[in-house]
Amino acid sequence: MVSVINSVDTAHEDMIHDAQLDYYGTKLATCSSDRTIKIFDVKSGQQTLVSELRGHDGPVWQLAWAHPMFGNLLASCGYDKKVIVWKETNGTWGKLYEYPNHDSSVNSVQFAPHEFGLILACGSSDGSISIISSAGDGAWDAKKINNAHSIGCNAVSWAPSISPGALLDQSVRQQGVKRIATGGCDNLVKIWREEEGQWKEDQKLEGHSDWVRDVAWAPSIGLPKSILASCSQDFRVLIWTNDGTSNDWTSKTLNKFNDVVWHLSWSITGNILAVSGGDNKVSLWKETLEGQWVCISDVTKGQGQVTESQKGSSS
Amino acid sequence: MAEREREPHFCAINDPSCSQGLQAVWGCGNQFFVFPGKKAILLNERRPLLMKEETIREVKWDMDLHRPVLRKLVNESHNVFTCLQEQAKKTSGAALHPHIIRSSKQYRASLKAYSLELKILADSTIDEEQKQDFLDHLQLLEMAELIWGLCEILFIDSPAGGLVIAPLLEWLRFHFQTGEQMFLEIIREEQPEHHPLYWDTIYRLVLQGQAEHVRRLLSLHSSKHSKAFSSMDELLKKMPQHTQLFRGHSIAEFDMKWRHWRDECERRLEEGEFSSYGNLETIGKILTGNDEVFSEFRDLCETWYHMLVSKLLYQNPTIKGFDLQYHIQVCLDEYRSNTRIGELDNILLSALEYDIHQVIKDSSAVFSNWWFVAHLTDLLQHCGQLDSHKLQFGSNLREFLLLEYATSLMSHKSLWIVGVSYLDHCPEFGRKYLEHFMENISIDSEKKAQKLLHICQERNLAEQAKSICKVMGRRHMQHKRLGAALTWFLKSKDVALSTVIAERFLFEYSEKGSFSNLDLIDNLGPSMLLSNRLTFLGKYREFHKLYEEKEFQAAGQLLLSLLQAKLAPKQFWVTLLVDAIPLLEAQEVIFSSAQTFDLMHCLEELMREFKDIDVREKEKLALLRLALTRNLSRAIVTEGTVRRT
Repeated sequence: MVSVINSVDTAHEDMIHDAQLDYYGTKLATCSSDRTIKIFDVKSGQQTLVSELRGHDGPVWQLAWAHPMFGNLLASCGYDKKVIVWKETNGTWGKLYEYPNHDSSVNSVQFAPHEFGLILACGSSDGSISIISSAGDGAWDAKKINNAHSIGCNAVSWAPSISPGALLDQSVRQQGVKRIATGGCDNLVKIWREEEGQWKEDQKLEGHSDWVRDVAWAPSIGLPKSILASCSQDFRVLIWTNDGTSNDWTSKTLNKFNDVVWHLSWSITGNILAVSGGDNKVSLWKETLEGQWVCISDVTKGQGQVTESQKGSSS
Repeated sequence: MAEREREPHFCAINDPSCSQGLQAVWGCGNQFFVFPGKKAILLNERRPLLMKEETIREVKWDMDLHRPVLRKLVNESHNVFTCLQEQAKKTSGAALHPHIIRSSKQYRASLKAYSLELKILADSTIDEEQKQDFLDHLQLLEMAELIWGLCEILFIDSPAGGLVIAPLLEWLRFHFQTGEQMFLEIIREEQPEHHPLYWDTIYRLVLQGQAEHVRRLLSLHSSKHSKAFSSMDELLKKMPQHTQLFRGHSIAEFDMKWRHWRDECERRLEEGEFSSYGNLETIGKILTGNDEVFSEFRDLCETWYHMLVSKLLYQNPTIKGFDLQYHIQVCLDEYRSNTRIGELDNILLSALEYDIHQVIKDSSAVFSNWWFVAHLTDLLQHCGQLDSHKLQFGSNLREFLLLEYATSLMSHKSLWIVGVSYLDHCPEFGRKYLEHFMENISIDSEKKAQKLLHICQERNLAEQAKSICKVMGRRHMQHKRLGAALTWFLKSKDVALSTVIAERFLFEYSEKGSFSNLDLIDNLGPSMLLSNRLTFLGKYREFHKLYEEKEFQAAGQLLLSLLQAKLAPKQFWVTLLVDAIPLLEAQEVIFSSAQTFDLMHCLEELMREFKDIDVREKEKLALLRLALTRNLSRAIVTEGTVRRT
């Protein structure tokens, strides 16, 4: 039984583009076309606005929380071609670092698994991807992959830090190999890997027939295989799998939806995938023991069977 | 829930702002936040109309387990679960079996206790909606008890020789209590036979094989001394009891006895011994297993499965579990017109057909939480009942369900710790799940951090333990609680951050001239070896202690060795050298001439490297230079004197 148990009125003055929960699920950050980022405390059903961050000169598209071991850090990217890293010090949020080296709107930003240190990747409509890292001493270093996706990169997603293969065979330990999946307007999903400090294209996954809007690497649960989900303007969600021993990726269509699919999100243990998009639904998908992907729940807009009882009771 | 073949659950949100697209972000466990809007709008895309109401909703599911009353069930069953897992480590096969049976009964007892509690709660609730919610939940619980009871008989506590009627009767009596309740009510009446339900109650009891109760009621009838009543009493008294089977009687013996008894029932019925009492005649028909009379008592049986057991009791008392399925259809047909076959019926049917997988599958779909299937499946797995399904899945059903159950506990503010324990018993994915959860459980207090760390250390989750220490250390550092921060960094043996803290301590000392957190620094012990800076901090503090204790010789040697070993950061040399002044000025000579030269050497090196030392320090160093020269002369003199003697 799915139920709405709380609602947070963000008071954003324009469309929300992203919301991200911190590692502990106690802070929710939202960003909007109204150029602001808001941070809410959502601990135990209470929702209070903690902070409002202004610094972008246009819509803010996406947010990412760093692991708390680096302190309270939030990265944002937006239409103003900028990536900003924000830091909280004694309750006050301020700009820690600004990365201005993209020529167009920056659509996606994500921090690397914490094992790699403080690193983030971002993808831009200028077709390039930047990997920005900090040694912790205040200095930031950036590497750029140019022409990663023609017409633009829409989504970036880091692979879990321990390659699943490492669990099976200690001799081919791949821990430390940084990999990123990206999706773009060239209808492609690409996988990049870092080798000797250089980022190289590892895989080009062809399967979508229209813009790829989101890619999401599933958390590793110790199986040798890697799982990657992608969604597209072609209404489809594909699940890509790699067996961990070869370089082959196979795809399976999770479902064809009735509208554009925007957003993918894996649960913490990677056992459920939340899919959402233009059909105004969020559906939950789970792989059964038989290897079938089935829809287990749906949250949808409209006059449904279960109505939201808390409507309007936001605190 | 997984394995569902029906329509998935829907949850609708009535909000026009959600018509521009929806997105969701995960929380910990079965929880996420849903928000309207879409991702980055690409360059040539049309901007959607401005939407005002921008509300984010927190959505959870499988929330049943989060009910406050359920906490007891969760905790109790957790104890049962872990006890059984411990036993299973020690024993297996036949030796484990009694433990499995006991666990099954304990689970049922917890379930029962919980439903009683919920019943009380429902009765005392005034709010209609809430009450209905409790009642709905209660209905599910009753269903769970019913299914569990049947599964226990068929799969777990299989009776000797596969004879199932006796335990099935007990199962019936447990769940269909009208007969028993009416019995207790009627025997208290002055004229029991005039109670409107006198005969109905007797029939109910007969249908459940309660011969003694029936005899008691008949003995309260005014005609009890009539021939017909005595005859019936005799028959009931002679009715072979299944308990005899457990007292060494063989099945064949029992079967023969029963046959004899039934023959006698039939004979008396045919001879018209009860003809003057229609009701007694009806009882006689039940005893002889007459089909028509069972049809007549459709309503008293209430359900097809009650009828099935009642009928088989009198028609086929030594039936084996596996043969039950051949008798179901007739009973089902009796009720067909009444209602559609419900979910419960389907599950019971599957159980009677020994299709365990179907039972679990359907139960997963029916129950609003994973408690039922996870625990039942665990028992079945231990019984070896699921072995044949292994190949079909390629993975383990037990673990699959335990993972679900554990996950549903993870988003609860205190029950998460129970979830951790369940993950411990999932050999394949449990550890990985735990790793992920450990990184995402909010550390809202020092105590919780300790608890989480303990969990990680117990399970050798080094990465997660490190991460917790880092997070806690950072937090303290931000609030300038250096001692607490260092404690956490030491726990995770974090060289880099311990160094940072040690430096802060030293900086603090050179600013204020005193140390905070003396306790911690004094008790660093071997952990000071973690980083050079920390070693220096510890040693430097030791110097202070020696000085305070007036162990000037030892203090002087230590100070010198700190400078010589280059353990001290250069910026700190000024402080160290200034610390040497009182030693140089002491009455007895502490530094030998050679050592004084060493100190002078350090001073020169410092002057050379740090050109821009501020005036105040320059003054101090000038003082030092003076002290050094004075000491040198004293030392030479002393040394000369000593050599002569």
